[in-house]
Amino acid sequence: MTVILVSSDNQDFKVDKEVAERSILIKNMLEDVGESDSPIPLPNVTSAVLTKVIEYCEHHRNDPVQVPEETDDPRKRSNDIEEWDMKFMQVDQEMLFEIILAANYLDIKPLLDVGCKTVANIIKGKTPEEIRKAFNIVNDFTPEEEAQIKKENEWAEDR
Amino acid sequence: MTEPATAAITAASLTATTTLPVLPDDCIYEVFQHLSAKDLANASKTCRAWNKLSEKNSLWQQLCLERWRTWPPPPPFSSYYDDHDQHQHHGIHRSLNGMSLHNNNNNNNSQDDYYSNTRIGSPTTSSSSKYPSPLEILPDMHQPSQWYSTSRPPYELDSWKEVFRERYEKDHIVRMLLDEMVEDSRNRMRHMDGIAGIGMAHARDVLENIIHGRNGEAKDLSRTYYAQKTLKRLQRGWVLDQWRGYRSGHQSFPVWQGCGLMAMFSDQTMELTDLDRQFQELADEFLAVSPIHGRGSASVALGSTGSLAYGEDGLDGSDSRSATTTVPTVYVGSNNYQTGIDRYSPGSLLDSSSSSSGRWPMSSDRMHERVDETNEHYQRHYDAQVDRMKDLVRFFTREKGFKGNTENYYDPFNSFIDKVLTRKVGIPISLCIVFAELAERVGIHGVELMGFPQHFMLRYRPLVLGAGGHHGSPLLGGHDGAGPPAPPTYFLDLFHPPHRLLSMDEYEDYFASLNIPRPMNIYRDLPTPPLEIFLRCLRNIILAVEQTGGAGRI
Repeated sequence: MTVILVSSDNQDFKVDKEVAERSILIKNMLEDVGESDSPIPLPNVTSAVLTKVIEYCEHHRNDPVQVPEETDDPRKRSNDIEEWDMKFMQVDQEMLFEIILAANYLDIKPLLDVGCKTVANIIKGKTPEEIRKAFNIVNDFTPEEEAQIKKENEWAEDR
Repeated sequence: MTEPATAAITAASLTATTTLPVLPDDCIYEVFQHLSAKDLANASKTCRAWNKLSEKNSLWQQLCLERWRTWPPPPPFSSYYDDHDQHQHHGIHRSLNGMSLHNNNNNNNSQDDYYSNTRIGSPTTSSSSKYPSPLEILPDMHQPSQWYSTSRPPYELDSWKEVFRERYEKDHIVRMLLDEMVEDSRNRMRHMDGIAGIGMAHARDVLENIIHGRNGEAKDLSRTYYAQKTLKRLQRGWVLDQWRGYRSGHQSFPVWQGCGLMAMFSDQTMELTDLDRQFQELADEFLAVSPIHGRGSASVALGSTGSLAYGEDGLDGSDSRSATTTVPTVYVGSNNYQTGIDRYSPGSLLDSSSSSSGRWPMSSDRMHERVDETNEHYQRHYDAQVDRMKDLVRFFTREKGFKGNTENYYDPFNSFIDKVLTRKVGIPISLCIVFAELAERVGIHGVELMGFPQHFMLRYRPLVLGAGGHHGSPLLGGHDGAGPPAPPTYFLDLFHPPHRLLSMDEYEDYFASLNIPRPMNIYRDLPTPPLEIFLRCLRNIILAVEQTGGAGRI
């Protein structure tokens, strides 16, 4: 059984239902609609991004369904990304952000996790200036504010 | 580890002229959850939006709980608190009170009521003065939150970031002092005291991290050595502080806690919270089979409401005349008990009825009838309690297999309460202490620790109906047969077989067979005071160590 997903730029993607249902959004949609051949429009996702997302879902099609992990022990620092996922995430930053956005929209928690971990890994060990550079962040603090914040966070500088 | 990815992205972003898509706040928050404190602090310095997001309390709470597992007692004991506003005071204290209430239910036992008049209630806010009075600071060991180690701080704060900063800096001081110790060991006592000054709750975590090379602490032999030494000294100091508080009457704790403290003195890894949990697990296991309100003895399970329940339970249907007049009589009877008038003599019943005789004259026949009904009721009540006690003894000795360590009586571990719980063998006194605590926790009151020369037993008397507290030791004087029967008395020896409740008739033979001098007046003796129990435990430990020459083990 396959379903047809339509990207924002009107491209059709034919995928196995099992793969598509990695997205909780699509899974719920299919459950609501029932048996139907009509294509599912995804107006927030471009074909380039959707290709990537489907690649991810294909690879993880047999993963056990994630148990709700809110209550889980919070020790999920960024070090634990699977090798395949890490490779998969070696994309330019725009794509990385797009994937995160799509994962967020499509409700694919593991993909969102991997994406966020990748971003966290980029931040890791960088100075504020380096972080700004990495993410094109504009420093919008006034000099006074900046001095204040620097002072507040002084403790974290050593070690 | 993501070196290629990072490099690629940095390179890409350097040349990027396109505007990056903006991640929504909850995605950024997701990202921040994977950051260390230091990286989070750096992220907060980049721009306003990120600064605001990085301040989120739950992020810092998570970081705190990941990094430290030992937490100081809740405010007002802690200094975290000084610069926060009144609003927090109230929030925290509400939860604190709830906690202490809960705990009273757990830990109240006869020894408590008996000896703990000095006990301090739950802490009150120090809103009147900035610094709490010494009385307020004195810890109350009944609350697990006062034990220096819990897996989670027993309070919520609005400013976990502040907490993180403070502890982070304290960790740093400890680390510095330790490093100085390593460099020049001549100053080590002074430095150890310096670390102690930071507080057990703070210093413990960082020292343990150093010992185990966790949290990015470098594993270094001499640092580990001094960290271990310091930790040992700190813990012993803490235990001794508890005992000093106990001796000076500033704090009290149940017998099992005292024994736990003794064990802690020699074993750094032991924690009261673990001990508490082990007891509770045992109790819960028993409660699953035999809930407190089972067997229709619900009306008497709670001492404080017993008199009320009795009024309804014992007289419903037995007095056909008027429901409104029955309750007061019984009430007066039980009030007498509380004011100390001999509750067993029929005279008190007479007095009480005559005080309301204007409204309700009672003939002497009628009164005897009432006394009989009352007797019967008492008997049922006692039987139910004794049955449950028997169940517990069976559970303890058969199912759980607690028994005397007859093979190695002088094993010092027989005296350490934590070892008794895990190994399920002990000597009479330690077995009795464990059992008595278990009994309290499953709602069986009236178990008393009775120390005799060379032996230790439990005495059990079902709780008297309507008793206001858990005074388990009714003296039998004044009982002349006409009033409600005195509760039956049983003895329990957990060391020697047959491990069951011995009635008063059986126990004569029992003492003869054991060849132990029979105590003079076992019915009237007061239970052994906790302090004496503690001293006996200590003597046992010393004796055991001398006997086995096993000082090295502890």
